[in-house]
Formats: sequence, C-alpha cells, structure tokens
Amino acid sequence: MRTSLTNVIRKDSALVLLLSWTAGSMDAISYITAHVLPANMTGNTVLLGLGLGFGHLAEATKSAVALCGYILGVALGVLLVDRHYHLQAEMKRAITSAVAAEAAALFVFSIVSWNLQILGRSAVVVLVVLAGVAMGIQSAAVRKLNLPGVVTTYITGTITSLTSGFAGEFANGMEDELCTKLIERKEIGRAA
Amino acid sequence: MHEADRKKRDWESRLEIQAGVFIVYGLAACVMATLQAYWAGGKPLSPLVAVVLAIWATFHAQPRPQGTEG
Repeated sequence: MRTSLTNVIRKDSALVLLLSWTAGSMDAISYITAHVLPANMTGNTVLLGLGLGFGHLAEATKSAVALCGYILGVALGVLLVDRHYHLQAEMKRAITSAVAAEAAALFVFSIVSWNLQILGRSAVVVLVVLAGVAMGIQSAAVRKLNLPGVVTTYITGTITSLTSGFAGEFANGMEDELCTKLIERKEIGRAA
Repeated sequence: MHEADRKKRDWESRLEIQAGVFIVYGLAACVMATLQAYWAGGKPLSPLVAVVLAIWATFHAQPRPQGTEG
C-alpha cells in the first residue's frame, strides 16, 4: 500500500521538531562556551579556517575537534541505525537506539558542563567532542527518517528546500496564469 | 483522493515541517541566550530534556507505514 508523505511527516513531526530544538540549543551553548558550532559543520569549517588563518591555534584545534567528533558521531549513528534497521517496521527501534545514544552523550555533556570550574578549562575539549558526537548521531538518525528536504542540523539545507518549494510553486502559478491568458487571447481572436 | 490533491497536500506538509524546523532551531538559540543571562547552569538541561522527549515521542509513535514515498 502506498502511503502519502503527509502521513509520514505527521508521524515524525514531534521527533523532528524536538531534535531541531536540541541542535539549536547545542549550537548556541557550544558557541557561548567554546566558539564552535557542533551541529553546523559549514560554520565550523569556516571557524577552523579563520582560526588557522589568524594563527589562533587553540580556536582552530577546538573546531577541528568538533569536526572529528561529528564524523565519529555520524559513523556511530549509522552503525546503530543500520544494526536495527533491516525492515521498515524496525524503523522505530533503530531511531530510538540512535537517539538514546545521543541522550547518553548529552547527559555526560551536562555533567561536564556543570563541573567545568572543577575540571578546568581543558574539559572544554571534552565538551566539544561530546557535542560533536551527539550532533553526528542525530544527523545520522534524521537522515534515516528519509524526509525529503528536512534536516535538523544544518539549517542551510532546510532554508534552501523551503525557499525552493515556495519559489517553485510561485513559478508554476505564474506559468498557469500565463497559459490561461494565452488561451483566452486565442479564443477571443477566433471569435473575432 | 486525486493525485494532484495528494501532491499538493504533501507539498504543504513538507513546507510546514521545514518552516517548523527553521523556527524551532532559531528559537532554541534565542532561549539559550536568555538562559545564559538569567540561569547559565540551566542551559545544558534544554537539549537533554528535548532529546529525552524525542525518545518518548519515538517510543509512542505509531509504526511507520510500509512503502513510504520519499
């Protein structure tokens, strides 16, 4: 039986929106704490380049660590999701296992974050790794949901899809209007 | 339902979820800035609570239908 995309989106919308909140929070917290963007590797790569260009090696190292953490997270997420996901019916268990792993990483992130004063500034690197891993796992899980144009981490992709959708519909509307006008003109010409 | 109607409904649903993702992502960052100003220690709770709710949402969601069109 074929199911419409609308039904799938309705079923996954709460999960997708909660994960978007997680990604937005993590980007903000990590930027405030360590000047890295763990959910947004485009921005993070720019920060890495700037760090290297200006010779701020400590900043560049943090961005590089976030990048490595993200890659590790995606790999872990794919392994977790693929281990459980063989049939469409197993999707729920696959996604739950990946999101649970993300929750574990975020739990340790919270503990380290609350004890940053005691652990010292070097613990910031641990925070960056944990944030990168959590966001990587999330990206892998959301990718598996296979919702077209919906990504909870890099918002550039979402904005592109959103704007393309609107612009495409506007262009189709214009085309239809133009066609209708041409047909009307032809009919008027024939009548004359 | 007609094919054209179904396509239009799918298109609307897709735009709704994309707009939702964009708004929620930005709102979360905004709330984090407010938390930083008034209760800095509460910041890490925000993503943690959201992800726990996400697990709950996944667990209580109906199984995904077969033959999903992407």
